[in-house]
Amino acid sequence: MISLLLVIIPLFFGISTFFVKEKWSKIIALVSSIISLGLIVSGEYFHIHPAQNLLDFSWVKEKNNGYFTLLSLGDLGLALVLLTNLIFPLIIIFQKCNTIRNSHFFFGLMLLMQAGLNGVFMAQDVILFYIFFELGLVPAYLLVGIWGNGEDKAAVSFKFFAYTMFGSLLMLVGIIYLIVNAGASHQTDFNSIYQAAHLLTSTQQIWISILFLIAFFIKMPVFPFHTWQAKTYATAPTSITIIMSAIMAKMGAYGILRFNVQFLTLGWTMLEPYVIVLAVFSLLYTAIIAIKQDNFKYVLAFSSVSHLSLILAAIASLDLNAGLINIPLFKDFYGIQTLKAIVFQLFSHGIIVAGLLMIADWIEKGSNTLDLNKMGGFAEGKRFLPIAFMVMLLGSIALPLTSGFIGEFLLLNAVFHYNYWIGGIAAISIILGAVYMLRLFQKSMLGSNNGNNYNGDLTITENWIIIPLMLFVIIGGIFPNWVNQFLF
Amino acid sequence: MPISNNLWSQLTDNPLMVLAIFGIILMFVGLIPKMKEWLLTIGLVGLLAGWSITLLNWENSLTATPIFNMLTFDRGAIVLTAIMIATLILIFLVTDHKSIIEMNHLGEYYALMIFALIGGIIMVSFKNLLMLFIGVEILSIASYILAGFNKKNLLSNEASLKYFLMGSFASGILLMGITLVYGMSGSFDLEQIAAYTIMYNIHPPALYFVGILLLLVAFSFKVSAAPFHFWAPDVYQGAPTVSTAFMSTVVKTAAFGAFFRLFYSAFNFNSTIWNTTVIVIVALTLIIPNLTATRQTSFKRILAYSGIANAGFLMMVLLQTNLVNENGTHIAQANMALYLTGYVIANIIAFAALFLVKDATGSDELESFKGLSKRNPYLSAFLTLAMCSMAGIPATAGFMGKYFMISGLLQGGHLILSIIAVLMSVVSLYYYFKVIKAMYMEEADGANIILNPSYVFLFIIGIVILFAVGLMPHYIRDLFLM
Repeated sequence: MISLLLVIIPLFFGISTFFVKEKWSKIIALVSSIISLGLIVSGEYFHIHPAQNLLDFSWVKEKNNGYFTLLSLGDLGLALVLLTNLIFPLIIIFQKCNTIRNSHFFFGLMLLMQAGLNGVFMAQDVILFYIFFELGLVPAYLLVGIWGNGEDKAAVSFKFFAYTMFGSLLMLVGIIYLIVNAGASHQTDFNSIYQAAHLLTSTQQIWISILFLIAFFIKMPVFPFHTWQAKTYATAPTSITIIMSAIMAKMGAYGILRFNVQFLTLGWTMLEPYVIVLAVFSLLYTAIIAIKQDNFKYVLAFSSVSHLSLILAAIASLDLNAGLINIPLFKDFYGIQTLKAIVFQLFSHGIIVAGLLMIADWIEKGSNTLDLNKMGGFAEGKRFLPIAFMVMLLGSIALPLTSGFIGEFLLLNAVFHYNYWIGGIAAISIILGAVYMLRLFQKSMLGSNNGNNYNGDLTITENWIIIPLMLFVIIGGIFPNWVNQFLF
Repeated sequence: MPISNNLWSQLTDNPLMVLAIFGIILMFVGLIPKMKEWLLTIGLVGLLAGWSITLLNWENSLTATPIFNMLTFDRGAIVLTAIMIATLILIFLVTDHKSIIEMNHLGEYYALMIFALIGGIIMVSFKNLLMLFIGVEILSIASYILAGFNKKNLLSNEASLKYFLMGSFASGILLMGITLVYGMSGSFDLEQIAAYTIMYNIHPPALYFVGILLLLVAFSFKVSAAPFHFWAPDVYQGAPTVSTAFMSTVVKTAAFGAFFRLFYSAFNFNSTIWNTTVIVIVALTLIIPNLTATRQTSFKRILAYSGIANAGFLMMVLLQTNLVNENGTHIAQANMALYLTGYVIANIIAFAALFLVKDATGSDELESFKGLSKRNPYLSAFLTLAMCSMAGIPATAGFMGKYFMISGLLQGGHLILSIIAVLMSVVSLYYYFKVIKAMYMEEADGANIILNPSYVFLFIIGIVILFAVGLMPHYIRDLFLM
């Protein structure tokens, strides 16, 4: 039942937020997101002390076909549901009410997105998966288009929308193809789809895999489908950018693991060499682009692509031949070590990028600019901001004893095991990552003032938003195994 | 059988009689100036009576017997009849607006719509090609007048004339097709024609084949499928908005009902020989209007092109005539009815919103939708949901309609066609979301728009149906199964 509540509560509060007065909207959104957080925390309890019936939600589907699971909290999606519900209260506190018009619509749409994101990671039915996949998208389009910054916000948000929708519709063809092949009764639950997909020939699997891959590459995004992303991240309100980069981008990785690796295993093993080359190219290419950017948020956007490309490379290096997944649960999978690392890194990247984007927003609010050339010397006279920035940044460049190190090290290790040369080339990204992130710190915090002043430090609220994120980066780096029991 | 019993059964076996009586009453009441406010009520009562009769016959429809071998109210006919009458009820609600109540000849306006509906009901329930032709003519002639009802407006006149010329042309082709089919098979009866089709399954005589093709072309004209769609945008734009709403919903439903009924029951056994033609028409109907619509600036014209594009999706049903579900029931008709439900409801919401905006600003350009979210947040929210449904966003009826259509295509093995359909859906997002963009992301001042209770009722019912179909498609589709 917890899985159902995690969808219903944001949906219900989201719709009711449309009808309340503006001043109440933030409080209602906060209440809703804290209830969701409480639910996922209790879900964690039942996950570690199994009581499946409390986590799953079953429903009678068609007249004669009996009950089966529609939503399930656990397995692969658990870490991402946890991430979603941890981040939402923080960004709702983070989002200032007085800077947006019609805040009740803003928060309502945000909660609808939360319902969609929770649903995607819990759905056990392909149609439901697709519905939630899109439920996150339409609010995002409106949020970017209405409350974005800049003159061309409508065009930017439409580009984002059309790109993603193009991918999703190709995915829809793939999904329907699988359903049509799932026996005469056309069951749509993951078990039937899993069995149907494994009966397809390798040629069929490759073609359907490509349809899915395009959708998920756009969502992540990965070169060459990343062109919508930097502009959208810079245009969207920061809280929405956080949702997009910390959570929505993870939908792509989740989808690849679910559909390509688990369902279309044969096709995936055929495509693996090409995907890993593409991923490593994307990893280095976007890292190099990030070094040359002058906009704070653009650097973060490209770094996000770069990190997700590494995750993709690790997914492609999963050793599927050693133990073909013959049970539709990832827990029983041979390559569990790499898979654990992938899930850990998905979670860790979400936390780190959320923290960095919040810092970017505070710097922008304080100094009225995101242009690195106009910043400089912002560390002077501040106690907390430079520390928070530094911790997040070190997590991002994978310094040992941060959560980023655990993730990146294990992922690179997996790529190394796949092929030494590719692993060696991918490892360059660590250096490039250090270059662009330290450049970011140096240009903004150190040196002398270059035009724009930034006086004052973070407020107490802002401190308390960033502290949980910093704690995770450090604890995740020191006790990764303890953290991982909650994730997978 | 005693006459009295016969009369009662004529009234209650099908809605035709009741609707005709109310149509005539409306015409005469329309002559009395004092009764003008009552016209809408009388019309609604008549339609509700017809609708109840239709629904009461729902269960009987599985074992329906033909009436004089001319009409059969089987499940397929009853479903489409119910959809058409319900649609017309919603359109009547749109007319509850002072600019229409003050119109001249209001009684005739309502009466014509009901007469056209009668033609539509005959078209979806025919068992004999003569009845098909009679139905088409009843529907068309009423529609020509409806298109030109705004007789002092030049565009409306042009629309009416264009519609009349093109429609008569298509009727001619239809007659020619019927003649050839009759000449070869020796009968107007669907069952006899089907028997003939089975007999010449592999190598049908050339004239018979030409007859089928002529019928295909004639119906493509009627449902405005490309390359026979060119009349539709001008007619839709020129006609009064309510007439356009009528044409793009009730008329389209009737035309598709007849189209499907004819090809499904008479020509299904040699579907391989006309399937290729249908595939080409579907592909063209998906590509041409979607690409053209992106260049339009008038919302009414966008809706016209969207109607053509939806005809492409609906025509896919002709490629699914052999599909069965696990119980061995044919599913094509249910797929079509589900798609039509979503399409019709979203269309009426869109036209109602357009009508209100046009009444307030005097223009149907996208410009006039700018800043509507400030002027009436509810209206713009309803229109946004309708547009989402048209664009096929999940959890709405539009998505489920498209889902079942593409699913049927893939079951038939038409992978390329379904990818074309999906790509064109992406293109369609562009023009459907243009209006959302105008409402929410652009600013402009304008008069406030007030929704009266009829409109609120219409919008809420419409949205509820859109989500009900979108969230419980299996229950709805099971209702429609034959």
